[in-house]
Amino acid sequence: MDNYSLGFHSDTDKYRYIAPKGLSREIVVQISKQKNEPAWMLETRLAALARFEEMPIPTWGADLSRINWEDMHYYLRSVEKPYAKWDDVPDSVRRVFEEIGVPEAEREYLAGVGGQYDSEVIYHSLKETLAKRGVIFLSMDEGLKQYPEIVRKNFGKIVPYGDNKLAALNTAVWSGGSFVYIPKRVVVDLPLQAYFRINAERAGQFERTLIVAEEGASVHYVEGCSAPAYSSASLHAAVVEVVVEKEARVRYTTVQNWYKNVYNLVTKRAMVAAEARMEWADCNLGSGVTMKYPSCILAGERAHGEMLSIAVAGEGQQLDAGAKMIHLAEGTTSRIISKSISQNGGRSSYRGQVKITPKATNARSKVVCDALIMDELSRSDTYPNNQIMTGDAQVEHEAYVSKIGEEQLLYLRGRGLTEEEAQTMIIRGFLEPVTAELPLEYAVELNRLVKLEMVGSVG
Amino acid sequence: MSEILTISSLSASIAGMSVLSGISAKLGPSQIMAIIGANGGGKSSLAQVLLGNPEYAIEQGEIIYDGVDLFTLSVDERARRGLYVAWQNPVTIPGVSVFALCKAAYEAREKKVDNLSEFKQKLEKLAIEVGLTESHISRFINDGFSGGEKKRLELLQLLLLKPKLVILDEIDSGLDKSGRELILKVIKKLKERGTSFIIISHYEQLIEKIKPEIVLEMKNGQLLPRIS
Repeated sequence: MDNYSLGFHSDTDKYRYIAPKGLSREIVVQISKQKNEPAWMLETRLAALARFEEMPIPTWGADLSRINWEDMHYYLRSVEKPYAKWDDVPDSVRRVFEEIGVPEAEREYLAGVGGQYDSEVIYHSLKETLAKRGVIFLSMDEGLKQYPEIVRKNFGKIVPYGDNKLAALNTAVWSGGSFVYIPKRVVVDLPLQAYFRINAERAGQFERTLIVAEEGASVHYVEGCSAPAYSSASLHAAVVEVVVEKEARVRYTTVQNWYKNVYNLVTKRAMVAAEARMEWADCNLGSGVTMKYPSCILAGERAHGEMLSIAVAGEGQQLDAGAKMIHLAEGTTSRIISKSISQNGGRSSYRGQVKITPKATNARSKVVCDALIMDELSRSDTYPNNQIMTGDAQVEHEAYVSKIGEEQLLYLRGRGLTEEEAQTMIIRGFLEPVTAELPLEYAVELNRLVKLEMVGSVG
Repeated sequence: MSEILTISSLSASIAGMSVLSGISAKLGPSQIMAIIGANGGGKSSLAQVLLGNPEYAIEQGEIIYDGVDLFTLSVDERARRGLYVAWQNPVTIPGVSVFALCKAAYEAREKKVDNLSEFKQKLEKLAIEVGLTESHISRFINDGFSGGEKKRLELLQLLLLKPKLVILDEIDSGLDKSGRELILKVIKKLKERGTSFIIISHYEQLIEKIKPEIVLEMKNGQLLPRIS
């Protein structure tokens, strides 16, 4: 059963450039050349490529053995440059984003929007008032062109290319993604949103995002993603680095709704300074395989890291997600709330790490993992890893696995709700601790997507 | 006068164990039937059969509710047609607000959607009437509610949904004196509007105060006239 409504695609005849399938030094050089990059970036790419080739495919977590690395396009450029007006975006691409509802969301409740189509960002905008206050919101490629020093200072510092095989791959062939810079004390009230769309068949998308929030700054960045319903596999391997300076606050929300042919292998990590706060809100509905463990390195005193996650794993899906909280300084705190639903043979796992190093005295951490299993075919696993190297840390870990309560269903049906309405209501309630933290528009969208995923699962 | 409920020779079981053995009863509009009896006699089983709890198997007999064969109706269809079973131990549903429950139940029953702020006002007024506060409406269903508050929430839904037939299963348990007075008030108010009641209780004083038209005793799955 497939309720995926975003499975359409547009043809690729008019693409400006499609790299031949497979990965090679020539392709990496070609990407860098097309982007007219500084020499250091090409060097970094090539070093990362060498590292990627050396590193083994991870054998823990989800099964990645069936990825055919040679049967994939690593770079596809659909348009020449990002546009600042939707009217200028070529019809075939603009229609896709209209279908998804991006321009409408931009008009209604966003401070800025980026749209990426296969490898390149095709649209970018930022409210003028924010631009005047020094906020920068660009594609990563434009960021590198316009602010090479900031990019060079931060690129690969939180997620070095040797971190893992997929981070090495991303560093070698990265294209697109967002560059966000929020100056000191600037508070961005409305979210900045990036929307990622894979369009071509057998395509890889390797966006690279860097967010820097200076002292006391605040921003909410949101990303959404979707892909056409192809039977062949696609690969999404992003790297996200977030620098949260003293007393700054960054929230990074993801609504991941890839089609079930997509391998979603993402490395996200934030460096959090004193009194600063980093919040990941990570909602995984789509993809065939996801491996993603957003992390907070709590480097400054009383820094706080937070992870709110939702995973809905259906037929053929394996969602291996979690979080890492690395406490390096005194008084640091972290909280992880993970909610997963497994149905129709889907498999979801929570894999998390809380590490409290010797310098992190008076640290506190709380982890809550709730799993809802809808039927006998589905599965949920929890792999917590706590390393506590101080004597005064307060670390709590709670994990619950449950089924939808028959009594709850009966109670609601006894008040006139149909079985489907009752089930939807109970599931919304289950997810409420996470959705309550999202802006209304996203909570509504998320509830809608979850409902779509659950249609027909009653029985 | 046509009956709201006619139970004929009803037998039911749960997990292969007989719980109701050939019971028959009739109830007219605006009438109250009280069913008393010791625990384990089958009182709550009757409430669950009327509700449509799928764990109960109907062995024989029929129930005609408001002119329709009750067993052809799903649990939710019964509710939408005005059958309301107030649970002895109402469930807790984390993350779902009392407001969301009441709104969904009201829309299912009335088959119309109210203006949101008008509905909220109406609900708040009823909440105060049953001794709850506005804050209870935004809380999750029965989450952290006392026994008495849970029962008051059942009464709130009763007033909101205006059912045709109400089954109150040990509604007075967990309630103090003011709570029991509230029950009498709610029953009186709805009865005047034409609602019929089946009241299951072992609290004799409550039955005396309600003055039901019919008093029956449930014992070993059989419904017998009360021998006083």
